[in-house]
Amino acid sequence: MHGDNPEIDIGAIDDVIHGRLRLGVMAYLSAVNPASFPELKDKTGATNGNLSTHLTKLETAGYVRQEKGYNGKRPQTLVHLTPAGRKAWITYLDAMKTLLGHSISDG
Amino acid sequence: MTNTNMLMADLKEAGRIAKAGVETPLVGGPIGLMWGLLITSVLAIHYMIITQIMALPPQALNFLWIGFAIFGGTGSAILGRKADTKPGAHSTANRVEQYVWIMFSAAMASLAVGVIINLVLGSGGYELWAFMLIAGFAGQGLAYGVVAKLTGHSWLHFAAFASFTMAAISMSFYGQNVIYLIAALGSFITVVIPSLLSMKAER
Repeated sequence: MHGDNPEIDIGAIDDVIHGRLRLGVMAYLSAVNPASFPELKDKTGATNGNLSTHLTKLETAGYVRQEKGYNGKRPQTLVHLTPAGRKAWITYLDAMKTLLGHSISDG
Repeated sequence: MTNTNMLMADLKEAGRIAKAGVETPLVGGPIGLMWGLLITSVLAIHYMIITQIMALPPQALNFLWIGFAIFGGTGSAILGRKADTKPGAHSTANRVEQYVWIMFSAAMASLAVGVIINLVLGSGGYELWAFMLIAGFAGQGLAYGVVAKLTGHSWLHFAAFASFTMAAISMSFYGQNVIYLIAALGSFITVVIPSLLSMKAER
């Protein structure tokens, strides 16, 4: 995806998090945890199917946990950021800082 | 688009989303409003009973306060469930606010239990209830201050200041019936008004 620039070490980026939609989900969950599925959909601008696919990917990696339940009589899915997800998010941001710092300082 | 530009664009978008999460409004306004209106009414009625403006026996106070606890508890549960479904209800700010007020309620409940034990087993008189009003305003000021500082809703510092002022004013009228009327007015100022402002900010 970003492999054409030799100054960026793509291996340092967590590929599960990286991707605009998953990045957005992780960013929102870092501030609002848990968040409901419609809330995430609204904030990221994703479609139901797209969001669902990416949440499954994050869940498989252990970064989020989906809790299906009911709010009154309505079905509700709450998405939780797991401790592993929070750790991965912080590591990801640190890696980004390093990568972009190098990239910018190298011109 | 270069790698750096793509990364920057992705991070900018993530930053926008994270900011939307951080800046979610406080959703506890309706619960505060319910408690504010309830305590204001109950304190005013309490004052009218003890001064016999309202011709009811003193035992009516027991029903008044038991009703307050039941109505308030039920209302909190219903409104709390509703607030829980609002966008941003689980933001750090809202979790801090919710937890601080739960702890405040626990503190007030523990004082109430202590007062009841003192009245039944000790030598204390009914003026002990008035002490709860003073402790309530002081605790409320502390709660508002913590929420203001930790959530960034710094306007709540004014509510904290008003609560501390009401604690001092109430203390100066300790032992007099009028403390209940003053506390009713104070509750309106320090609970109803901040709750309305919070609800306005939520819209």
